[in-house]
Amino acid sequence: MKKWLPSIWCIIFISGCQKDTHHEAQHFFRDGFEDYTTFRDLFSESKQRWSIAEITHPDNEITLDSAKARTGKKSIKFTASPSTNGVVSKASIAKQNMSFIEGETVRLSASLFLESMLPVSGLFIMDIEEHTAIGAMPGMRLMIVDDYLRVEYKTGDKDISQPEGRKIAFPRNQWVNITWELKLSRVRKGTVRLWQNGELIIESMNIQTLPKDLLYFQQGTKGIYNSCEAGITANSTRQKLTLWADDVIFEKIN
Amino acid sequence: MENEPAAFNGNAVTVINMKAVFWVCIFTLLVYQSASQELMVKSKAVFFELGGSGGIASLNFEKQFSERNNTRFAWRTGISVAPVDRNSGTGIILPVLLHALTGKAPHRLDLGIGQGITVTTKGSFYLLTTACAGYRYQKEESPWFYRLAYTPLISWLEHWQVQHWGGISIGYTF
Repeated sequence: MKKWLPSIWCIIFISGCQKDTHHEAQHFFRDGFEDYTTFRDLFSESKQRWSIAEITHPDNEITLDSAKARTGKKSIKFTASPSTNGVVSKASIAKQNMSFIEGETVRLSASLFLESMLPVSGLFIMDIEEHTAIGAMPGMRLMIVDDYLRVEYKTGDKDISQPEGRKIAFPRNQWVNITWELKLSRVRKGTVRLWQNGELIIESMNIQTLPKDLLYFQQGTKGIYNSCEAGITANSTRQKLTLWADDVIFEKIN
Repeated sequence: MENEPAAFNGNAVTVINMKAVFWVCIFTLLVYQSASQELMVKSKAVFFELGGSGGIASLNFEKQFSERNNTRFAWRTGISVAPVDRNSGTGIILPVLLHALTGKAPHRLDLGIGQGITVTTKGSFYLLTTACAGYRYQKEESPWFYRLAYTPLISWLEHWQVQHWGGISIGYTF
């Protein structure tokens, strides 16, 4: 047995290095919220619709709204109180079972209406994430800080902000079209572009845009974003806020 | 609402977990089979490793089970923690390795390979391959040893990734 031990070790080590190459999931999802009668209609077991809603505070809510819409007759309305006691306040919906892999460019877009009479700082409105075996669903997200949109990494890297001197504030109390493109890379070959009402406000190249494993804190990353989330994905402001969303699209563009 | 037909394999996670459990069982059987062989040199040690195979830091127990031509073979197991977040809990890390220490006191080359087993307080389970290539210093007459090692963490279950890492250890043999 002793003399076979090194061979057995080699077999175990090498055979463990098999990659799972089976990826069958969605590359396109679009919703104008016109097909629903109630909020529950957004979700179905067939995985053709939204996957989950996250409402983490008793005062938070998500409803269909036929009084306000960017196009058509309906939109979806998110209301969230400020986060307290270490619990993140969320009112959001997520589409899982997506598959945007390294090398591809993914586009997330939506029309958003943020209702507020005060400046907004610390509001998260759109996330793209990877479900990992161990970890806090790493990825990137859009955040409003001091009334300006920026791109934030969920796992500690420096935010991507609008260039000084050319910043454009996120308009409140009106419909705003947001388009966010990411070229996906786990090394410094990725790209982030963000448009607000058709104007390019952020462009950053040669950056990492997909998460990687991080010691034992984050394990099982595969170089795939498989979840997109919209709404109030976290309210770290000091005010209760309401956000409407319409014409949400998640798609691979190349 | 428009979308392409979804065909995501919801059983992928179950298959991966079963694969991990299978290899943990094989590895554990090999470690215990090695440990149960007749000892050429009975030598145990406890050591603290900063960085290394346990991630941030770990407490470890080591037992040598064989010696041949200036090479001593030992198995080692340890414990560490890795806080993740409120939803994912905390990871309890168990690095389990086989080591070969070659050379003459006080200078030895320390080579090792094994698995870092993660179990979280929320019930998740995962494996990383851990390896070690280091320098170990221990005088013949001293129970204390010190080690500096390159300890990469190698993800293999779902996607191949190598994280370059290292560790410093101080230990006591008895």
